[in-house]
Amino acid sequence: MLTNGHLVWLILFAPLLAAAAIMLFTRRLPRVSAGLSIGAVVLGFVLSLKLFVAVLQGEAVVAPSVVWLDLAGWQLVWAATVDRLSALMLLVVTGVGATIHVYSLGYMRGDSGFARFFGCLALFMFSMLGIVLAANFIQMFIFWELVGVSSYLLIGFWFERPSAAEAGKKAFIVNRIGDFGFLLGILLIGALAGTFNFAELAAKWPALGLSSGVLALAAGLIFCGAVGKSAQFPLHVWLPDAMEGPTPVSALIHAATMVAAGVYMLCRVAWLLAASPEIMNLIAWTGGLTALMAALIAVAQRDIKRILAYSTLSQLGYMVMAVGLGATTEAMFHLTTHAFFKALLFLGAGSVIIALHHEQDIFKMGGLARKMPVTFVTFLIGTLALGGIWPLAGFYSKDAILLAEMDANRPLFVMALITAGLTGFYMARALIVAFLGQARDQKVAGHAHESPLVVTLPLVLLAIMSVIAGWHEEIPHFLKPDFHEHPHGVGILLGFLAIPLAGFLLAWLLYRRGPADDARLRSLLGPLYGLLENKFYVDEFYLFLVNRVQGGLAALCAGLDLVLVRGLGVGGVSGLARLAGWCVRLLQGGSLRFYLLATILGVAAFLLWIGR
Amino acid sequence: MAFYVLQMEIAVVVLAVLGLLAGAFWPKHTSLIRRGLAEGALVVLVASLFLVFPQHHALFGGAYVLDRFAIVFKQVLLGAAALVLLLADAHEPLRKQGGTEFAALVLLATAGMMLLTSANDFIFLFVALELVTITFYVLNSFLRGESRALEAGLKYLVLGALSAGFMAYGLAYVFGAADSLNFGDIHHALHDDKTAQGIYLFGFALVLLGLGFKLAMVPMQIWAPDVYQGAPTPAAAFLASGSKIAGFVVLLRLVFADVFPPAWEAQPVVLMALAALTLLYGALGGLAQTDVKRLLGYSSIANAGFLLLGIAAGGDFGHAAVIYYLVQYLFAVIAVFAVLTVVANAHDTADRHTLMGLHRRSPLLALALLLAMLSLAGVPPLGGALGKFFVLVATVMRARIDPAFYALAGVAIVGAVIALFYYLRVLRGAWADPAPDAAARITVPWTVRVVLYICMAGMLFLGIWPQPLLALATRCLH
Repeated sequence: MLTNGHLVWLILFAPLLAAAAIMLFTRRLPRVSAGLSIGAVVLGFVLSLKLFVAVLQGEAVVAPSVVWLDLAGWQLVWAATVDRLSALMLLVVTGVGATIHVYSLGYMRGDSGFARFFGCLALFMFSMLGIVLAANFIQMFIFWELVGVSSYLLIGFWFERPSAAEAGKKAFIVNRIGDFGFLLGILLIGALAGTFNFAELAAKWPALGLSSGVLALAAGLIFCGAVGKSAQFPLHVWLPDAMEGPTPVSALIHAATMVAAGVYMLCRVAWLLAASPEIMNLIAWTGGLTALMAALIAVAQRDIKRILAYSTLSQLGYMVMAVGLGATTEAMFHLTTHAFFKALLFLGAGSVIIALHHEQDIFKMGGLARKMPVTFVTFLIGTLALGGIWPLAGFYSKDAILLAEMDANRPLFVMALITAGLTGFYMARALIVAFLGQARDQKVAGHAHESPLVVTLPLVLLAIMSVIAGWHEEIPHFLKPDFHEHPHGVGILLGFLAIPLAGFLLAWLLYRRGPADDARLRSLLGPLYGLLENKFYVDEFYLFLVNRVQGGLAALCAGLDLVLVRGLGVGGVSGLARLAGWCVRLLQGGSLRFYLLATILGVAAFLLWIGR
Repeated sequence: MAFYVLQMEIAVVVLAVLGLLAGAFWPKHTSLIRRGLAEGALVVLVASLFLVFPQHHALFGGAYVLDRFAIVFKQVLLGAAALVLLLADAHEPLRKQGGTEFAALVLLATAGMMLLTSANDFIFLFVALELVTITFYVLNSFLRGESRALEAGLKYLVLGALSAGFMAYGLAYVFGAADSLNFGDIHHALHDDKTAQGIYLFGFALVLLGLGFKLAMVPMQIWAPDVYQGAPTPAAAFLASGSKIAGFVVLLRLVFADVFPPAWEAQPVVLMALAALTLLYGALGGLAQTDVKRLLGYSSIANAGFLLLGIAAGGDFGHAAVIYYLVQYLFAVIAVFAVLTVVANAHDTADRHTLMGLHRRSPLLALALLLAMLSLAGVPPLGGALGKFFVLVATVMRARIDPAFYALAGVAIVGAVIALFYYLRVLRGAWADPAPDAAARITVPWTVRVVLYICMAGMLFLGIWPQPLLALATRCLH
């Protein structure tokens, strides 16, 4: 009899089986491959729903666990965590995943790597679900790296394009920096507490009586992992470049799920963060800074996917900020609603991109609203939801975070409000420039037409979720049955509503005439525009660091290396190894008489030695 | 006497004899018979899994014991033999030669190895060991037309005879000191007689050297590269898997039976030195090699070093680590030889050129080679990584009591790093170098396919979920 506990493993392993089957057997059969991958994720979604209901009804779901490794007292158990947090996250990942899988059928049609795409997507689903279900740090780290691998494979999916290959590498390497800290943190915690298991640690950690420095170090190192995966400042640079991947990938991995894994992980280890107020503060400020900075950059971007990418950064900053202020329920609420409307926006952008034969510059679009009505309406819903307009989902989740901040940290609250205004502005800008007015480039935008049903149906589904996901604040109440919003008056809510509306209005004033380029905003902002357009020169700064500082240091080291290390150390060692290798080889010349002599001499030496 | 205790060995010998007879009566169906023998070995293996064995049964006045440890390794060795028999059927030069003798001899050697796992007496050990060694004299030079194979056979014969001489000589001293050759009696006989202990030490050292020939342990390692290179590939595969496993099983048995000289138990400095030398010899010797089969000879020496390290470290965990290592090593090394069985050229050697561009010529072979080489090099998530890891954990655990083991762990890591270099170089040839123009696609016979799938599954399973085997290994110790 299959219990709900068994279903947990079925949810996790169905995509792995699909991925293995596609890679091993059906790479030449695109339809079968897509069917396997979609079947696995839809099955996962249905089972996640069942699990969600079970958890909602208060059933304690325990997945069967096995001992993975028993090392003389150290036991690692392969188990699953099924609680309200993971049940919700499962639903988000499989639900958004399922719609995006279906969408990919249309988006990737005719691509030579169709089957490979679905194989990688299934691998990603497996890895992501593994993070959600992980019951200990080791398990989480393994899947953490696996999502890194599948993200790398999918960003560089069109590997024949050098920019895509580069972006894949960049994402992987930048993530490695964060993951290195994460791994150190995991090892530190394991060494201090003697276990990696989340449930045991949560009970044990505060009672260990560690000094505040050690607590801060552990929490800070773990936070490093989230900084990499959720693309927080200063490791945010990989996410915009990751848009080189196919748009469904951007929607699924780099907007809705994987980048949210960092936030999810932080919520999972809230006990660890709570033990160190300094690190909580650092997390809040990192999030706030990322939110504001990314929103500013988004204002001056022209590529529709990059605008959305910076918007993702900004919203992730919101979530991280909420975690830093201890508002994990609000963070997960925003994570959920954001998954719906950001996936919707990316898929809408993808629909536009196919219609325009892979043109992504919004200032070459225009007038698409009439040609692509479904895409337009759903994109509009996504924009309003992201902007935080009542009664769409984004309004509820964003306001929950703002309300939590209002009393906790005033400077951050102000930053968050500015970000909200900017969000309204850049999203309205993208919407107005791309969809309203006249087609700027007749060749590109003149002959656009609506995408097929397989593309628009996922848009409609996600649009519905973007509208209703926030109602009655069901999600925070599910996560935390005694959830209460901070007390507030209607006036404050109206104020929260007014700020993004002001942003919308400003964008309407600037762009309603359908300008050919961004000259008005450029003149309005002056030199700031260039700064934003070039993303605060962070990439250039890193390049400078890598080329000059690291390069200079490396040159210095190379000089030292040549003299000291290679001349005396490595040269000596590797020379010694090679020399010894040659000696052994000479010894093994093939002459049987010599072999006999060597053996007898060896035996004699051995006997003399033991008999000494 | 209850001969049903010996039923597995008897079944294998009967199978071998039937194979010989069938080959003589139906010379036209030798291929069928050869495969039948492989399947027969598998049937015996599967049947043995369902048999209920009497616990701690002894035969021949305590010379033969049957315990869980022996049964598990009898099964492992049978499995190895079945895989090697499948390879032998796919090996082109051996097919040309025809006949069923090669397969029958493999089974006879297997019977010898299975007897070894139960040996509890030095004479019994010696006889079973010689059964294995003498069979290998024939197997190694089975390709009579190839001068390399003859050379390999001759070298194995001469050096093997030398080591058997050492062992027999050592046995005389052991008997003289302990007045018995049974493991159980020796431990008591030596109890507190200092003179006898001195004589016993000398005799035991010679026995260890004789056994060291099977293990490819310094100073008895010198034959390995030449013989691995020259012997028919399936014979080399069996040498690397079955013969080595049997040797280490005997060594473990000597440890369990407490017949190690008392002086070595407290201070395993002799074993430590042998482990370090063996490790470094294998790692360094492989650096300059271009022939893959010869390289595997050195690899086999380096792996023997790792296994000796586990035995020197000792403790329950150390011994469990050795058992784990042996099983995972079996999968990796047979996978490599399976690839070589198909790609080796007409002279049955495998220089660098034979592997060039393998990923274009046969993706399956290239993948299997990749997994096997990474497993041998110790890269997760493959069995080899955990094998090395467990041995190192055991070493470090021991080092808490005896700090000299830290140095040994360092040596092991250095050896593993050096070996990584030559394993990866093989992979570069197979994956990065372009295929020679003349090279056509390789068709892989189904027998080799089966072997490769089994080995890949084994490597991955042991690398991903180690606990079942580790738990079994721990149970074997008690």
